[in-house]
Amino acid sequence: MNDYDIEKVLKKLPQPKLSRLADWRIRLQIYRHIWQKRFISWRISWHKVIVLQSNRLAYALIVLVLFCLVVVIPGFAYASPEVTRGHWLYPVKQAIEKVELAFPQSAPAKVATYEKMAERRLAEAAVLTKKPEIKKPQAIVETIKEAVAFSDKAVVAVQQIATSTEKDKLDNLITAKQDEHMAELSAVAAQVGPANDDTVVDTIALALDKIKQVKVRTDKKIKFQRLPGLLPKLEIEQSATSTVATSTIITEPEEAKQVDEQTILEATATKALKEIPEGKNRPKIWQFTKEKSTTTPQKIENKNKAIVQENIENMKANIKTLKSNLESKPFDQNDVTALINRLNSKIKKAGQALNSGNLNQADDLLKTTEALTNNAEHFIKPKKEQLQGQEDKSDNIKEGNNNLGSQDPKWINRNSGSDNNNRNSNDESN
Amino acid sequence: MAEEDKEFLGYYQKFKDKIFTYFWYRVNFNRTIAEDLTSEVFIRALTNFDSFDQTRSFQSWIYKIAHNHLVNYYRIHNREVELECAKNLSQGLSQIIANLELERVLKEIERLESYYREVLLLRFVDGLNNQEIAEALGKDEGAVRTQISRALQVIQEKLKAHNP
Repeated sequence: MNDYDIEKVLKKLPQPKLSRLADWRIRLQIYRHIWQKRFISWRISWHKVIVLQSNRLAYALIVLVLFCLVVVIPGFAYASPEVTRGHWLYPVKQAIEKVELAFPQSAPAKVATYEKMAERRLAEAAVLTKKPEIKKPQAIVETIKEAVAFSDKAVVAVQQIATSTEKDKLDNLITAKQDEHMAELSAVAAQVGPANDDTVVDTIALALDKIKQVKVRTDKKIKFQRLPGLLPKLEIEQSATSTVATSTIITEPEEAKQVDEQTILEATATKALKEIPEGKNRPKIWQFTKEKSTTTPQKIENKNKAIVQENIENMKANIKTLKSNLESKPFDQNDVTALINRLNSKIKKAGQALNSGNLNQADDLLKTTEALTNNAEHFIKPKKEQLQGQEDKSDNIKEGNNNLGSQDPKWINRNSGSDNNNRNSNDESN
Repeated sequence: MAEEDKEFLGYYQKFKDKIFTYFWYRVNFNRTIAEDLTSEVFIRALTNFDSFDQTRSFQSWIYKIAHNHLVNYYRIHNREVELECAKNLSQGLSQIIANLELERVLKEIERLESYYREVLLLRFVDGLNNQEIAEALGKDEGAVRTQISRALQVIQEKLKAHNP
């Protein structure tokens, strides 16, 4: 057998085939292997996706947190009246407001900004007094004082404006704003009531007075004011040896030392004083005559004491009048009683302060008493059965003011518009 | 299914019988073992299919894998198959091959040295050319040609000796 034959034979050797069962078994193994490979690659890619998404999520979360910290939280703190003194976001609010105020602004813009700040403070005061119990009296006091301070700054900013047309425009704006402030404070006063914390009630009353002053402010800012009509003419007495000129001056006791002495001429010791006789329309006055040798600080102090004493007596009478007025009106009598008790208590303390020589304290008490008396109706609720909405209450308030002003001559100096202006101007000048 | 998976299945379809035959001749015509080895070879090929150079012949590559797998199989089983093969050769062959002449040639092939046997079977049973045989065995093509020629010569001499 040659090679060729062997090759032929060899080529004829059987070549068996894989059985069908074996074939399917092998195919199954191959498919399983393919799916296993694919599943592992999916897991890896999903892991990458998850990691990638986690990273993206982390970045998104960081951006979101930064956004909240930089925009959302400060924005909420700035805009929300719920963020009040004592709130953890309040420093953020104050910081933003400081930045806002630090920006250089034109006078009209400043006025608008100050008024906006005053509004915010009043809104915060409303929130603070919303709760049945006042938990943060000091916060309320500071908030209201800040509101008044911003309102004052607005007034000052108006004065810095040169053009009169712009000034008039802003005056109108401020007047309108004062109406809003009055309404807000009135609501706060009604919420607080007359029997609440002393400092809170006093602060609200003084703020209400201040708002009234701003509304009827005058252009003149002098240290003292002479009342036209009530002031006797300047009287000059001449003698062979001296000339005495006397004029009456109405002012606060503290201003005694600041009296303009240009109107006072030298006088002799015996004719240093001229008393004004008592009468129906006796104003709160005192006379000052410069005496070369006899005028002493003690005499000035005595005069001051006399005036404070007189004020106390006048205030007692005013309280009686107020009481009878309030009792005749449809007000909640419990509130009226609480208010009158508070006023009487203040007057008593003023008397005690006067007796102990503390004129400043006495005068402060008189101021707060006067403010509370002027704004009594804001603190008192109407009777339930007479409650007919805000219109009736506001009507009563107006009526009450008018009645109080006309009934007692001793009230003339306090409750007449010009008198209040004058006194309030003196306050402002101080 | 991915393109490469489809491609592999195509290769499987084309070479499954050849690989099976390859193993069948080398594991004493034991079908079960041959099927198992065939399965293992293709799974191994699938696992490494990413590293397969598409410019090369898949046949060469799969036969190389099969050859290495067979060598491992022999090592693990301590050449039991070869002994078993010699012992049961006549019984196995007579059941498979009806042709006496074929049987005689195959007996002589089985008695050849392993290397001669391998190249002869790859050449005439599996149908690989010299280059593919060289790639599968990791040898030089010229050496393969020489070995095939030598193997044929040996068989011829032995056949002449037994059948003068």
